[in-house]
Parts: sequence; structure tokens; C-alpha cells
Amino acid sequence: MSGRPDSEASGLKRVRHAVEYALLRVAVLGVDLLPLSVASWCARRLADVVFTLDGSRRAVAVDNIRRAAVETDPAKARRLARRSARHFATVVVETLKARSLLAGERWREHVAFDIPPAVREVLEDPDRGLLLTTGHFGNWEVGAQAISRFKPVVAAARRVTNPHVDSLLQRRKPSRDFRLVAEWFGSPTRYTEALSQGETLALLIDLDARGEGIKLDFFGRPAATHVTAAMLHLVTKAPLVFASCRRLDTGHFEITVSDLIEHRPTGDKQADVRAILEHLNGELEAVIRRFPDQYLWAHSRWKYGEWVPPPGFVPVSGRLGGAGSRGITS
Amino acid sequence: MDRNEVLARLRGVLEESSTEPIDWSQLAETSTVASLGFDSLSILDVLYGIEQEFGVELDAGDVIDLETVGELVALVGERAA
Repeated sequence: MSGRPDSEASGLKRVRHAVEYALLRVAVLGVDLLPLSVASWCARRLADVVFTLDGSRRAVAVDNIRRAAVETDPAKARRLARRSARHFATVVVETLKARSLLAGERWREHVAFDIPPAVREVLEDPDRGLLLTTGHFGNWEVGAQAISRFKPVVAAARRVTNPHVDSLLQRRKPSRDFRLVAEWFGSPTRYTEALSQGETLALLIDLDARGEGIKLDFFGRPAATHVTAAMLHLVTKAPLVFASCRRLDTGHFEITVSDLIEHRPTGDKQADVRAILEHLNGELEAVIRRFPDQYLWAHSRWKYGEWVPPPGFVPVSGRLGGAGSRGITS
Repeated sequence: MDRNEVLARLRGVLEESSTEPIDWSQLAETSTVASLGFDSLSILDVLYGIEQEFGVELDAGDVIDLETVGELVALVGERAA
């Protein structure tokens, strides 16, 4: 019968979703009940176990570290990958606890800011939007939430495929001034609305762009890079900055924001986009080189290896045209 | 600048921003924007191109709800005047 495999797969998926949700609920309960230091310690030990058992992810991290030449010796690269895994486990715990860490005036005990005066002016002006870019460095979630103390932050994220987990994450949204908006992912029009309303739009610049974007070196290796941040700056003229939220110790952070990055359109769109993104990548690389164990090396930034552009690929905004022509409807 | 001139100059901007191979010689004011093969990112490319071609800065919100090329021609012509 043709329907059976689908229903079996659907049933397995429901079971998997239920198990994932149950495990997450237990983990969240544990994080809520334990002090931050204890929960973080437990998370780091769990990360050690996962690092040992999950050979494929470990291999990705070690390979990324070595190819980026941050650490070329295999043993040292492996140790760095392990520290990165522990770091990420701590990121998860801190993020789950962020609501209490940053509540009221408590945030002052946990976050130090290094913000240039010109950027501070933008942050304190309710009518001016800000394009804030960052990467999977330090605790980017806490960083965005802390910045929302100045002006509301909107960040786009892909919706989690498990609906129960997604619902739980939505219920734990940290504050009304920090919005994770799944529906906006890849929707520049909604981004421009947020900027025109004087909000901060937070974008991760080291997501794999797959068939879209442009090929740009990251640590000397070509990576498919989204062009949205650059195009938004060029079109809206919204102030653009790069920010990092480095962990000083568990639950304590230093947020460093770059000077305003200003690039006016020259008429050569590809050159404009490339210049902006190279600048942003340079900022991210610099902070990673200083604190490499606070980068998420296990994420597949260079998914395509040597990166061969797909047929018909034209850099900037992902033009994947096929053969032939299509009619225009009147 | 008359509408024909605006349309002619817009054709180049739209062609460069479209994600689809289209017969651009057929473009007319009655053409629907939906038939021009724009994806969600293309709107930024269009706005960039219009600024470079006409010196006009438009918001995404100004153009997202336009249904025909004629409406875009009218908007650009009005702002460029």
C-alpha cells in the first residue's frame, strides 16, 4: 500500500519530536532550578560527552579550525574544538537564563559595553534604525538582548522544525524589546520596515548562503555569504556596525561595537557589496583570532568545501536563472 | 522626463534585478510586477538600481504593493521630477 511508508515516517517523526521535546523540557527545568555556575558546569560536561560521541560534528569543527589555519596541529585543533563545544554548551545555558541575568538593573552586573560615541547616539535616538551585524561568536543571543536595553532589537531566525520545541522557545522569549521573528527570515522588505521604525535589526553574517549570495573568503577559504546586510545598508542608508559579545567568565560579557561603517553606493553594486562584506568578515575574523575558543567551529560555514558555483550562478542576490525566456504577463 | 523615457531606463534596472530569464522587449506599462521574476531579495536590487539610474531613493514599502510596471513608472517619474 502506497500510504503506509508515509504514515510510518510521520509516526516516527511524531515520536522523535515528542522525545526531543521531553529531553528539552528536562534540560530547561534543570537549568531553571540550578544556579548558573552549576548548570554551566553540567552543560560543559555534557558537551564533553557529545564531543566524544559525535564524530562527524567533531570532525567538522577540527577540520574548520585547521583549514582556517587558526590551529594547524591536529592535537591542538582538537583541543580547541573541545573548548569551542564547551563554550557553545555554556551559550545555551546562559541564553536560557538570560531573562533573569538581564532583568531590571541586573544587566549592569553582567554586561560591560564598549560603544563608540557616534554609535551610542544612534542607539539613543528612537527615530534612527541600526543595522547590527555579528557572527556565531561569544554569546550572540545575550548580546542582542543586552543591546535591546538601548533600542528594540529584531532578529530573524529559521523556525525550528519540531513544533513542540518551537512553541517552547517562543514561550521563553526574553523580553518585548527583543524579538526573534521566524517569519521574517529572508524578507528584506520587513527588515526595511523595522529599520524605518527606529529599531535595531540584528543579522548573523556567517550563515551559509548556499545557492544565494556571493562567494567571499572567510579565513582565506571561499564561503557562500549572504548579501542582505550589505544591500540593506546601501539601499536604506541605515547606520551599520559590527558587534561582538565576548564572555569574560560565565554570565559576564563585554559587548564591543565597531565604529559606524559607511559605504555609499558607487554604481558598481557587486563591488559595493563585496567591500562591505569583506569589511564585516574582517571584523569577525579579527575577534575570532583573538578568542578562537569562543567561536562555533562546528557549524558548517564552508559547507561546499572548495565551493563550486552552481550552474547559472551570478554573484549578488543569487541569480540562478535557467535556459530560455519567460513571458511577461500584462 | 516623459513616461516612455522612464520606462526605457527602468527596463535595464528591472532586467538586471530579475531572477528569471524574460523577454524584456515585451515589457510595457501594463506588465504586472508579479510576472517579472523578482524574489524577496530582488527588491533591494531594484531600489539600488533606481537610485543609480534616476537619483531617486525609494523605500521598499513604496514599491512592494505596486501591481503594474506603469505604477512604478509613475512613482519614479514623480520622484525624479
